[in-house]
Amino acid sequence: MVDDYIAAYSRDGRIPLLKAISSSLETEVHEALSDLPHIDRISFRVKEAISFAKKAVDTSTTPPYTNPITEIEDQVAGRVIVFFREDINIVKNRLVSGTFTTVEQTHKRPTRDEEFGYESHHVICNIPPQVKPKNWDLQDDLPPTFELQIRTIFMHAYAEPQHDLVYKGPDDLPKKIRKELAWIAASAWGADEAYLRFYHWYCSIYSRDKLKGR
Amino acid sequence: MNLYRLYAFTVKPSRTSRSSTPIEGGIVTITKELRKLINDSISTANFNKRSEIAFVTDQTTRTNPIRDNIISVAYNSDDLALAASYELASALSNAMDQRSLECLFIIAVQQNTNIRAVTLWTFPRDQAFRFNSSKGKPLIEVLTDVFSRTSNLRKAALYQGKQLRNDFMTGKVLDFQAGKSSNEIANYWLSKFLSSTLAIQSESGTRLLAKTLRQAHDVCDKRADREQFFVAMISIRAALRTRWSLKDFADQYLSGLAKVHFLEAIPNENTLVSSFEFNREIFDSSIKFRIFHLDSGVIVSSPLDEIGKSIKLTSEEPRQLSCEGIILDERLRIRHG
Repeated sequence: MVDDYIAAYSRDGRIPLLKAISSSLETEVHEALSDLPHIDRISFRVKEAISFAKKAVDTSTTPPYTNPITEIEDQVAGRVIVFFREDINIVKNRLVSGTFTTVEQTHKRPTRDEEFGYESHHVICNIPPQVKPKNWDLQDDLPPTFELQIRTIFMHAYAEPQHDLVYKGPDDLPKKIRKELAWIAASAWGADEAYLRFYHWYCSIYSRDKLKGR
Repeated sequence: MNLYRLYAFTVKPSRTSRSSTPIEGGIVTITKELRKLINDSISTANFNKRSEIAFVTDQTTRTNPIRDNIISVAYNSDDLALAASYELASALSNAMDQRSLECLFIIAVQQNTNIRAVTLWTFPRDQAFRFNSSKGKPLIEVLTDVFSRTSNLRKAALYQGKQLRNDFMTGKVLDFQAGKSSNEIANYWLSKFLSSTLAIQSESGTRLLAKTLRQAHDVCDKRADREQFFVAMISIRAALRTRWSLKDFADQYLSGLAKVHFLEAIPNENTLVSSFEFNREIFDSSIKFRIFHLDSGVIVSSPLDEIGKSIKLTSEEPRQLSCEGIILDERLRIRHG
């Protein structure tokens, strides 16, 4: 089954089309955010075939996929990493009002306030007409949507190294390892909060100095 | 695509009414003649050359009542599909106010294996004459229960896809009134009834227009062609009309090689014909400067709105530039810029 999905995903000509969309979307996001400060990086990628296939056969998906080849929405995915927590909504508002039409927005975070873990803002967008290569609409096995993630540097620092280890790794981690990961997540959350307080203090001081002509 | 379900309703405006207006209609038996008529109408609508639109969904549940009813009409059992068709007719009535005429609302569902296409049509009520001169005595009847197939007030939309969670999110819209300076009437169809928005969003579309202009300008080597772009840029900024497609822009403002190069810079047909709301601020920030290289080696970079003011250009060949202003800053550099 996995091999069938890999073959379908990688059929002749399909991945180059996904890469073309990925490149065009990255340009689109760069242009949309070009005048905004505090953007650390913008990147887009095409999902690896094996990663797609594993997701397609994952029985824990709710509701289950009927046609994964078009339903899996992060085949093309982008990420915008910002400096401060308050920049997330600024970037998101810029992208969902005026740049892309959106299907769904999710703030992924631990369900309980006292928990620390993965946190990221996800937006599912319709692939707009202007980024599609000429023969895109002739295919019937391409996704109509793509995924955007918006995070701070610290959210990303927590999420990225452990993504393959916990999200797709063994179900049971030793208790001490879970605590270590929670500590890293809490530290990332704390660093985000502290950096934002620093930034607000800096802005208030800078504004005061400017008024006094310093 | 095979026509396999057809619904028709007379719909009256009820948005500003104190009470709801009853919807009359239901499922229609598909006769051979009607099948041909509907298929011909869909064919001549030429939806491939119409604006793309996208449903505005609840961002948590990704639902949209119109989309849900369209999918129900397309895929559900006969009873549920009929109920959904009434919901759509009712939604249309609620979207229309007294500025809109009573209309014939038709829902046509076509199928091809597991793909369904749902076309929504409105045809405004009209009057027609029936003339009869048999028995030597001419007779004119005024028919009032007719609906116009050719009126410019008619509208249509097409949604097509499979029964998947991320399908039927976008569609095509046909509106013969689109492009007029007032978008209010067109907006009742797009935003109030279809609960949709243009697929090319305002800022993206405006940046795309600016980028296409820059690319086409840089490819043109004749001054007359390049001048067309400058005139077009000034004109669109001053236009009352706000909703454009790249095709509308090219047809309105460009000709000859300038138009050819502009159209060549557009990535696909759908982008060419899909409308967006022009945003003057975004446009100005996307095309800020004209740059002139003089025979003396001097490079002049001018904001667009200074052309004709502190920057004067002659029109006769060889063209000349003169510039006057107060120096605010002066630097020594290895390179220009």
